[in-house]
Amino acid sequence: MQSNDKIYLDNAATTPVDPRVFEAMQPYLTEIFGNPSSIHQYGKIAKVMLEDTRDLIAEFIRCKPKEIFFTSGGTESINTFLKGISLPPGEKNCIITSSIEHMAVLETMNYLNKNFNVIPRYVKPERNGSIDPGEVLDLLDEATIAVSIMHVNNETGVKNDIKKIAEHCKSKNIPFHSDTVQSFGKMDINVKELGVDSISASAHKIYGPKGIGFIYVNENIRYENLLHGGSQERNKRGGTENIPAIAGFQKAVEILKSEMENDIKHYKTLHAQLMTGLNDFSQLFILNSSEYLSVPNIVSISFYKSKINFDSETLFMKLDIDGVAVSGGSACTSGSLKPSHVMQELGHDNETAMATIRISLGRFNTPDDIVRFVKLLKKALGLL
Amino acid sequence: MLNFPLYFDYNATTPVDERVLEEMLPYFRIKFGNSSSMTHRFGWEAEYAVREGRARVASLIGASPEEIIFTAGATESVNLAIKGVAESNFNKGNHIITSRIEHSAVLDTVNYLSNRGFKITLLNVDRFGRIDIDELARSITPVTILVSIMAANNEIGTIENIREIADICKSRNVLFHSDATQAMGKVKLNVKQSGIDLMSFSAHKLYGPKGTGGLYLNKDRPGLELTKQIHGGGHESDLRSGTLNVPGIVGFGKACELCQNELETEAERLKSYRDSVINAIKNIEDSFINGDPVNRLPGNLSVGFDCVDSQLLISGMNEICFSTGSACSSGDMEISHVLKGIGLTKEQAMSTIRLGFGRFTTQAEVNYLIEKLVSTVQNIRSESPKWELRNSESKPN
Repeated sequence: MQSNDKIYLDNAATTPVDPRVFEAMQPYLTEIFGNPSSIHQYGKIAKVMLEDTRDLIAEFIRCKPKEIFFTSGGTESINTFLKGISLPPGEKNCIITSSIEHMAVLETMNYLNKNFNVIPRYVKPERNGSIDPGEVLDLLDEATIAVSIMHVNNETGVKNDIKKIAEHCKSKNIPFHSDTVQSFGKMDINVKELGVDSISASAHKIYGPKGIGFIYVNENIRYENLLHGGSQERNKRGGTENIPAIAGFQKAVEILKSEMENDIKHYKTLHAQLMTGLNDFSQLFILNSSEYLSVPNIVSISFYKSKINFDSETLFMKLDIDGVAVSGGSACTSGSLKPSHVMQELGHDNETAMATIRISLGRFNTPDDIVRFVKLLKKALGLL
Repeated sequence: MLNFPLYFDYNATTPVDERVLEEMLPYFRIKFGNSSSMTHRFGWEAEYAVREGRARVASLIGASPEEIIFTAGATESVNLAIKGVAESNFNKGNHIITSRIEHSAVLDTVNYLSNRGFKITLLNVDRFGRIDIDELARSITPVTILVSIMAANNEIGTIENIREIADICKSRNVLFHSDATQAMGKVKLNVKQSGIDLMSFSAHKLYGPKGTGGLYLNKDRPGLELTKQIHGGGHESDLRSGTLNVPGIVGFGKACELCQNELETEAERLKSYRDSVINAIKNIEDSFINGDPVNRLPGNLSVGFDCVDSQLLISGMNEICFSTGSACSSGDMEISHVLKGIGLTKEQAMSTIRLGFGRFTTQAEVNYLIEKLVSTVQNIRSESPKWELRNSESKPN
């Protein structure tokens, strides 16, 4: 089967590299391949590009260039903030987060708890999948080191009011980090207006390459390094910079600057079309996403076991044979067959949680993809 | 035909080989899936590609595929190896041994650990950059948990006797980690024959892409436990989380395969380039070569010229790219800890340059380098009062 016959609707897991992005990257792989720490011409070209990208991203999210640090991706960024702010252990010992965060947050919290006695306090989601800022406020106290709440949930697409959470944190002078891996490039992110002290983001979710991400940290926040060695990233992250990927990241953000509004419009059009298509059999599933609270590029539904005989493995197999790529849980937890923690937190029993499909739309999807997808999904479910 | 500027800094980084790029290409736009996606073929294809990459990397160093953990680069691998062992073995002991001339990835990491209650021994090296095996043996105590010695030095090219170090570590029941970033793919290195327990390496030093590296973990070594350093989705046997850099891993695999096939002929060629430069330099009076005269990387040459500041060489030969210290510390003008470690004076260190030869270096480029280097040294000296004074002192009337 040709790749253009395929219907890729798993853009929340990863996106294809935009052709313009790849074009921008390629010279940095083979021709202008210098190490930015080198003092000669090859090094300088790489260094200039590196700093230009930092400036661009800073401008895009409205912070200072020196507040942007490149990492290998969202997971490393999240680890950097949570560990960096907690270690070495001090008098304060508590981090407020939510039970629906990405595993990068939850697993890091487990590690900090087990090894350094850092106490995580988890806010549970509302029925609609969002985190109530008031509940975060209720948990803030003298022992709170920091707060970390994701901007958009990767499985449901539900947005959180991080501006409100940031206000609460600011009122108590507590640093606030937000995992914006799913919202970066899908919503306008202005760190000054939102009032967040730190955000984590990744390039491969915005049509950039894998292996590159960044963390924004407000210049007034001190934190321990995650990776030691070398004076790169102003002594905050050792290791030769991934220059071709950073060149790709630059292009990906440049495209967002001029096209994000169009992207969002495109997602909304496809989203409306998809919802209309799913409406034909809406009695069979629970909508985990929300029309008003979710980003338009993610739709998650869980089928009622009482209404349809749903075997996820068979379903995904059938869909794949027809060229359809959708996801059951988030990509990172889908390696294991455990029901998604997000679905469980939404109150689904294991069977319902396992009967979940996440459809995530991308820049390169077409209305025809949606028409075909709805038809093929119905076929796979035995509804045709 | 020469293509300026000429690149003689292959120890800092290397271009991606066209054959490597070609193999990577489909994974950006066509087979672009997340290797953790288990519900469709985009994910399966990516996962398969990672598996193949892992096998190729493992093959180059004589390891099994399941002994390779992919990371974002050698610095991360070193951090994972050293902090991972330190955290897992804190109840057994808190002593780590390394050397003064390690890469800053190792030195900064052990320095961090020393602020966390670990005791660090920095072994001295001789003037060739070799550690003293007896000193190593004497330094191991019952609370020593790890020895970390690089396979080959990034500045002076000296290859350590890894086998001997590994034997001592094994006999004293201490884990042995080696930073092989410079050695892998350049000289023959078999982790099983060498007896290495953990080994760090990177793709961009061997014509693979930046942003991908790896850590070898000897699965047969009892007591080798590692605390992960990046937590999340449980990738890489739950030792390193984060979406895998699939194109990077594919490229790394191909790069390793090419090294495995071409290592010997390439090493011979680079040695001949290097030796022709050495021979030319021998004709320049008061020049010196750093590092081990015999056991050294084929593509590395660290040389200095009395009364010739390396900064002047850089401006005098700006059509040639080379380095004056290791790439990671050359942003600032501090004297390299490696050159200090082998006992160079400040002046000698300031006049040392590093020339790196690699896969795309040509004989014509080397000829140009030699001619230019010899004439530039002469020009600088002819305008140097220091040189004049020294010569008049050493040759009294």
